[in-house]
Amino acid sequence: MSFARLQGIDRSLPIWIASALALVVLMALPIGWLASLSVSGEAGPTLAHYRRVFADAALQRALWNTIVLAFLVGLASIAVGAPLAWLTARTDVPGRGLIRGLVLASFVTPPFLGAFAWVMLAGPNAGLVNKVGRSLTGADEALFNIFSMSGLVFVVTLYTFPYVYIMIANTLALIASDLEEAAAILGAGRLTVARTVTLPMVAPALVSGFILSVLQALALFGSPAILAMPAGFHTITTQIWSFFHFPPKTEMAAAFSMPLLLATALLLLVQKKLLGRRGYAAVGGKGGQRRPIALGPWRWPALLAVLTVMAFAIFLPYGILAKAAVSRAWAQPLSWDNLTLANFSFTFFEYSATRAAIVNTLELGVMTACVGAGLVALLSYVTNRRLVVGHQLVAFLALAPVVIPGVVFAVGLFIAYTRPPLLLYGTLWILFIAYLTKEMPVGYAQSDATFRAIPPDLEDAGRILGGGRLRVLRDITAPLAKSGVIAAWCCIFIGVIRELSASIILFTPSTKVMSVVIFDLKEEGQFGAIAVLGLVMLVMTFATVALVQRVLGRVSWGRGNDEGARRARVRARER
Amino acid sequence: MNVIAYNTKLVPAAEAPKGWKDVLDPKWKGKLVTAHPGYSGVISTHVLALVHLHGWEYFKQLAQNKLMLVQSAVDPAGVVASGERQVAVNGGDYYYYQMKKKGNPIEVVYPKEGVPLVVSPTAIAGFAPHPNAAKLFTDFTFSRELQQVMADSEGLYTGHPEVKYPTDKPKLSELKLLTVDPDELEKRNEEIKNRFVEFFGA
Repeated sequence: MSFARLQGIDRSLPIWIASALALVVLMALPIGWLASLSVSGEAGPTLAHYRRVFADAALQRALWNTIVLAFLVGLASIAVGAPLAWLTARTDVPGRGLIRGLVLASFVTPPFLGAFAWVMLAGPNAGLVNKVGRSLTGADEALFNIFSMSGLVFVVTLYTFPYVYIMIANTLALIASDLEEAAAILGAGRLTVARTVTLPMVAPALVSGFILSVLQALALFGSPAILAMPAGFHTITTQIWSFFHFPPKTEMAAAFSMPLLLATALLLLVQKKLLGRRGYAAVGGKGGQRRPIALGPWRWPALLAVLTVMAFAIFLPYGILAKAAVSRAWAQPLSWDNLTLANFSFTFFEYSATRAAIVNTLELGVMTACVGAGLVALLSYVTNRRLVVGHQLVAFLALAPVVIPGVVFAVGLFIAYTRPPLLLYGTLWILFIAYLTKEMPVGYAQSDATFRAIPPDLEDAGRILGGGRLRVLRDITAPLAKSGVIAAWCCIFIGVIRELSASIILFTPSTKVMSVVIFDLKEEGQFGAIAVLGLVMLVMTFATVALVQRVLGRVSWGRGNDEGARRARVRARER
Repeated sequence: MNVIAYNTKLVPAAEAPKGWKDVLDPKWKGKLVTAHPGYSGVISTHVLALVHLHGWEYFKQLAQNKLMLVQSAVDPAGVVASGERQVAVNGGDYYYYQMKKKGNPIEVVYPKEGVPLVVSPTAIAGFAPHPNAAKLFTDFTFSRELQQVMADSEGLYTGHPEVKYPTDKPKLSELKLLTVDPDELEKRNEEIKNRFVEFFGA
């Protein structure tokens, strides 16, 4: 590494600097606007907005609700995601491929669709689960009220735990099991091995997964809008959204978003402190075996537990959406009288916004994913190899958008791009910028994990043997990182398809996207049409995942860069 | 016009609320839905009209029944139609009427104490590029034929004296209308929002 650095100016250096600069511009503009708005008064700079925000009891409640929500979702996601990852990566639980597929399905399911589905499943009165519960027990009380904090945590966790899952499964798949076996040979029991060997090795992934889940929950808008507001409580995001209703209070919203920024900066700092103390490069250019742990009699109970989780995340919600799509009245049983195709004809032919929205969504999805995946690959390479001065700042900026709720970020963009030199409001470009910046953290985290797992010694070996940086990049780094980059592409595309919170501020009648149309339909209580459009969204998402897997071979979902790493090892040996 | 609406499958007509204060009965706890003045001008008009009629005490008591909160004035209709809540304590009568016509189990109640009237004015922008075309269009929208269409297919009441309403709707003359002063509404908008949030939580 130091040898490479001493070689003077590298040809590729300008590329890294340019991309780092682009990131600063993308981020600095909207955040700068936010910050300046939050302290701007009619008579110059003021802290009045902050005073109002923190003195208001309703806003304090929203703040507290958000903290509770994010923390509980983080814990619950670990509780669900970590065991699931361990089961599929390390044990002989039956149906590992199926489980991986189902986790992927829950990952790509737009959380607000899950929330709509759970309104139909566990609304206290009309919800299917509660109706069945009532007829079984005869009780008047609802089994489960989805319009509550616990309901919100439940639904958000169902679609957030895959973040933990993928972090841990990737790590487990990369760690050879010889360390664990060594411990077992030395007489440690299964639990002792898990506690003293496996757990410390996955600790960074665990912490990262927790922080990622917390940040997801903090920034989420759709699910609290659907589940919390009917119950009479706000989170920060829904509260900020309500600031934009007549008469809009942009400054208050800006001030209210600052605690979020601080909280995330703090979280990231904690993560760095926790992980920075020790080196975790457990993956090297050397081979290693991974042998599954035999679960014995626990194989089937384990599968049953996994399928129960999946029933909540996938089977039940998808089922109720499908039912609502073909029902006249979603709360009524599926009988011949209730069966209809009217929701489809309404959605596609009578409701004028639908078709343009589908086209817009697809265009934006592909464009953002291609540009974004390339960008995050460059950025995470730059930061992991410390190629530019201030690379920590680049890493922070790449992760920073996650702290800005899409709603607020959108307002920053709105102000920044409704004036010269960049008049982008009313075009798809403003959405493109919003999506690119907003999906950056997820793509970056994915990409960062990829590059973190590729130790520099392979590249250094290439450089020592005379390869230039670009050649090393092409022959060693790229094959190792390929599946990780594809995974980042998928993450970004799926994120764009379901993006709601920024779109809801930035759309104009000609630039509506699918999620906005779905939210419009909510106001009219059109659950049938919501279900139809939601299913279209799901089909689009799954079709893309399938396509990518077909074109490029199996994507590294939950199996780390297993294949890429193996191939690169072979190549490295050949040289 | 803001009205009460209920689900006819879950509430027999005899037990349905007749006036605004009937929904204060604790038997409706957990069974009511309301739209929100923070997101809908129709609903802030409604709240102000009822404050004039029964005072803030009405909303304070109403909140004891743990209402489900939705946003726009058309939002509660879907909630009542699905049976998630049995009774809506406000919402636009025209949308309930449309939903009812589509076969949903919804009935509308026009309280005798009066129904808050929300007018939808039309305006021509001062800098409109084609002011004469705009005038012609406005005249057209106020013609008897078009106002009749609004009454028939949209379920709206109109200002046109010759418009005939569907027989399953009360005549305009049978209703006691509650109006609010637009200036007062604008001045008290913030207060209305804040008190509502204070009582209902969000």
